[in-house]
Amino acid sequence: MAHHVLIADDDRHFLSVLQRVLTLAGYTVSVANNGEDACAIGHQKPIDVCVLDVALPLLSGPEVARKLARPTLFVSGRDWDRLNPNDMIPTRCLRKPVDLNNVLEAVAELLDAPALPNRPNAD
Amino acid sequence: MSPRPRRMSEAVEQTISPSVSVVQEAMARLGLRQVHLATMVGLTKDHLSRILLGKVAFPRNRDTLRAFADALKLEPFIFREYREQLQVLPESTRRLVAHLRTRGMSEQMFVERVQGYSAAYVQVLLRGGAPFPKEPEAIERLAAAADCSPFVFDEYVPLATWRPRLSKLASDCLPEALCRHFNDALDQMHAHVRALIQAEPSFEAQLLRDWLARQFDSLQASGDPVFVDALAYLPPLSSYQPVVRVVLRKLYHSGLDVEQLAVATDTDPSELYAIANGQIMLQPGRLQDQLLQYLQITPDEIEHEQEGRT
Repeated sequence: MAHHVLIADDDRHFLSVLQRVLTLAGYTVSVANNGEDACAIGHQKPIDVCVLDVALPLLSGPEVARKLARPTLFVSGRDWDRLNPNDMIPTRCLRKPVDLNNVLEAVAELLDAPALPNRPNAD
Repeated sequence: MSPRPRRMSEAVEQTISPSVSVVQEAMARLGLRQVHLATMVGLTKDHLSRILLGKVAFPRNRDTLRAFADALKLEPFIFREYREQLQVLPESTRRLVAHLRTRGMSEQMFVERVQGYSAAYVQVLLRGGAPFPKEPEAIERLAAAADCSPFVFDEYVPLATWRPRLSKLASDCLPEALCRHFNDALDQMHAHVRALIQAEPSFEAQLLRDWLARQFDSLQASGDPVFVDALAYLPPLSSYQPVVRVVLRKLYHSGLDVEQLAVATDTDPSELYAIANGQIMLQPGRLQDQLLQYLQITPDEIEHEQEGRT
């Protein structure tokens, strides 16, 4: 079964391009353009890896990562000081503008990361 | 082992700046005499004569170098000393200096216009002897004195980071009920700006055009506060690849927008927007080839951009 990737970013073009690239790479992809929607999707679907912008509207990327507790790739043009949502979550960080090949590599690496405990409930 | 002693000819070569011959050639071309040039740049004839004979070092003061350039109808970048001075400056200081040049404002005039800071500090800042400030108030003062937006400078705190800062301030200072209202208002403001951008493609195109104007032609940028807020979402230009910076400059000067460029180069507008918005890199391949060919960008231009920014 294809791994499921959740992308959350408030730039719709970035979402569109990344969704296409990850789908072509064989992943099942869900997208959200704010933190609250990302959390909602993350609690409804079996997400394996999150790709999150740090400065998401409504709920920040680190907050989403903390709630979903899934391996996470953070992408951001700024705001590096607000990461590290939870020491238990495997994370990678890429600075925008990102090289799409690096995104694919980081997602693959996160999927190989040690297994996580059971997915926690929201809040 | 002791270093090899320098020969006299080497010492002389190091003393006489290549800028001297630039000045002499321009004087000959314009039929300008030393006495006239000295008056125009604010030096004594004797001092200018000693400069041209290599007896004293070529000036390094940027205002003086610009005076030479103006008098000789040259760009100041032709002088090695000017280029060297700019290269060692922090990115935002260099941007400030370039902006002053665009506005025709001398550094001395700028120093006098800055409110709340000593002239000595501003002079040191312009020389690169102090880091560009990170405090929003300081950047706002410098920007006001230079007649530009504080968002021109990468250090200026983007709106996205104001929100957690303001929220923390509110939670420290306000009663809980008021704090909740305050955060609700912040949420609404954030959502409003974002919704405006996402709901209206022409707004997005206008936003990008306005941002490009601020990067490449600050005099043309609009002063609409909504745009100024929204501009904070785009990363600093210095974080873009050199090739993308050249593409964006050419795009801006061509008068085309992203949609038109996408049609002309038969490419996906979303991918172009993602590149222009600083979200993804431009990969070598068909898209890059198409853009370089259509915008008539040469490898030299990209190399020049790379050298200018690194």
